[in-house]
Amino acid sequence: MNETEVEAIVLRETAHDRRIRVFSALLAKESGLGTAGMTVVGGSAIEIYTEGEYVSADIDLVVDSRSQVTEVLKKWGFRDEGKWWSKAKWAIFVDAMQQPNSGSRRLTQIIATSFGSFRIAAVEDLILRRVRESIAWQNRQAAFGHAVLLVERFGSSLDWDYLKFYASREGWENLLAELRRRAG
Amino acid sequence: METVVDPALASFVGSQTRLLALAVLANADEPLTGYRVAKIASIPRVKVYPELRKGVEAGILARDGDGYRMVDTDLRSLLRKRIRIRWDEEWDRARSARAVTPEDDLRRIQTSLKGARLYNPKNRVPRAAIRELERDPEKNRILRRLNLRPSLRKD
Repeated sequence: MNETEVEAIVLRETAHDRRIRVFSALLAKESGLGTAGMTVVGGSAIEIYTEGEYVSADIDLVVDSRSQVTEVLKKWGFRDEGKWWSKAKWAIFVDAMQQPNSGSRRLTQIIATSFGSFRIAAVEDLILRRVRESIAWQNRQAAFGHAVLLVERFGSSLDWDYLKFYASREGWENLLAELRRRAG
Repeated sequence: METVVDPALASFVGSQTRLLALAVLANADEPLTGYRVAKIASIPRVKVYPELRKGVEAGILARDGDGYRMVDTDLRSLLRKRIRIRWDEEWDRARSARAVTPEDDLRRIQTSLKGARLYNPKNRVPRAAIRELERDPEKNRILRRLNLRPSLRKD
């Protein structure tokens, strides 16, 4: 797909989370990485899970091959920003990190769109990171708020044993109890 | 492009196609047509229909209007634990069914967290995990230059 075709699809989506979804699906397909070699992580993953809690404009990706991604981004008219790639018109800023995903592969989610599928980080890992952020940087309530929001949305389908393992190891069982209470 | 799933689990179930078709239905909140199952799983329709028929014969799936749904709740729970795969339109339907926006939800949550003590000196978050949370300040500078929203997270 060329830049014009992708632009027509991406700009049709006015909600930022939906734009991230179609963009990620198109990028996974066009780069050849598919659901096996590319995962949406970080704030953009939270935005997708929460259906629009806009965290920031950047899309963080963990990829098997950065060169496969950058080749496509160049073709789509993205600007080289050093480690990152941007396209202001699409309101998209890509951080493609070629490194193993530190989270659980088993708990990741595949999202199918009309333009293909992409993989997104496990909601449990996003909760874990937000809790860590809230305790490591002392009373970061905004971060814990995101964890609560995710728990309220997905509490019944979460792998609580996975979270319990890290809570016990890192000494935040009290926060896990609070999350469980809020999950209902 | 084919969706890749755990090969050991696929081998246990019998085939990747069967596993994907069942996983899609296990994760769906509504009946799905064979066409939709094939689209979500990124597998050819011709391969999906025999698996759906076998599922109905085995009592794992049931016909529901034009579609299929998983009726075996144990298998449904098991598959949901191992594979998460969904159609994004379900996301949008969930959004339109909600009375409040995520921003309103977050405001309510933040209000309820006022005064909560989150930091505990006994916490033992590994250094490597903390390093992962750090964000290059240059990233936010570029986002601001482009008039895009920067992250509120610590640089």
